[in-house]
Amino acid sequence: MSETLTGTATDIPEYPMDRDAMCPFAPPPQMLEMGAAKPLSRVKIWDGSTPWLITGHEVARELFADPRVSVDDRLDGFPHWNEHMLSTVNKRPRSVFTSDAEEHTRFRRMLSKPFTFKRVEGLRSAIQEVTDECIDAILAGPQPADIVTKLALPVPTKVISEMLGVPYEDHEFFQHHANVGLARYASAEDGQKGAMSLHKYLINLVETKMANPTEDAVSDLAERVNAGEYDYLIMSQYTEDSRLGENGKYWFPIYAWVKNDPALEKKIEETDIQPESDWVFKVNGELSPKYCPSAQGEKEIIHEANLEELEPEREEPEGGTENEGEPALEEGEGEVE
Amino acid sequence: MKVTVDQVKCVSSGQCVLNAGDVFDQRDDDGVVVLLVESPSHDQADNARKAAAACPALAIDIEE
Repeated sequence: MSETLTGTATDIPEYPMDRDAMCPFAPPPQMLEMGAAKPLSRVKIWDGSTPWLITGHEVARELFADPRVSVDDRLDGFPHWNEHMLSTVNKRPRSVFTSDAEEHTRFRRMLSKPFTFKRVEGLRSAIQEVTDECIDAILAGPQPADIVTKLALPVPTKVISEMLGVPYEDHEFFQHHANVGLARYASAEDGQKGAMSLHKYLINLVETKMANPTEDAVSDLAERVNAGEYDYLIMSQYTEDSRLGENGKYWFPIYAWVKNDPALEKKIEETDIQPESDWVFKVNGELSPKYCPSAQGEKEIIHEANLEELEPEREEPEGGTENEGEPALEEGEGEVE
Repeated sequence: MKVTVDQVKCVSSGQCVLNAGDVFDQRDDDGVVVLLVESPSHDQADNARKAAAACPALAIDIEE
């Protein structure tokens, strides 16, 4: 038992851990073993630091409810997901994912309107249509088909596009940048390029929706901006960075604040920003509440869909022909082609 | 049975409406819980309990 604060480098397992290829939806076996042994263990992440991994349900519940536990990624020792997240921590705006208590609630409520039970129920026919299209495409296309790339990925992507009011033609762009942002070993440079492109895209989208609102999440925000309820301004921290070509400057938007919020206004004064004419809002491409109602709708419809039409492809017994194509379930970044 | 809700704790997950749509509703603007029936009938009681159990923010209190 070497239960010191840092442990020794050799006995601390790397995180994340590999999943069992035969059971890819279960937590990694090593994590399950650790969880059975004790509810809290040290793990080693990409930068060599050793944060706690919480595997016990009771302990997790207790910690979630403890005000001393924080999701504020500016705090020392915060286990960042990758180098990009660490390198931009002081440049990124606060969001629902990195704020605690009242600030968290304020951010959350800005974006909960499109996710009420009624709004999601209203999407039911659209989800059904998307699901049917995907299944029809599988039946009409080459066999065997990969159910992940042909059904499990495109259904939520199309539905989210619809909820946000993002043209589906742009989904590959989103998928690509989301993958870069979440890749564990993404470099700071790749991450910044991705963030920059996304922000530019979102500026244009908000402007479009401010002029021509429709029923979707971005229009809801644009409507509030139009009503003067929110002020959205770019925090244009031009950051010198020679790796980014051109004049070495790139946008680091985005900051949103609600009028009459003294704490935030003070923060903005302190940062000495130059107001720009561009409008921006904060979404960061992440809109799912913890209990995701849209995912629930999609799941129900996919499960109800006539999956019997889709014959599962049986693997040839071992020692048979060589593996053709890719395995149906491959862990990785899952980029949509 | 007497039901109370805490709109400050509410995180707009919509689990209450999913479980007991005739007892709870959500505000259109931000999805925060709205209590429709303070004293659910015998028929509604089970679903109200389910809603309280499903609420991730523990924002629903039930006095039997």
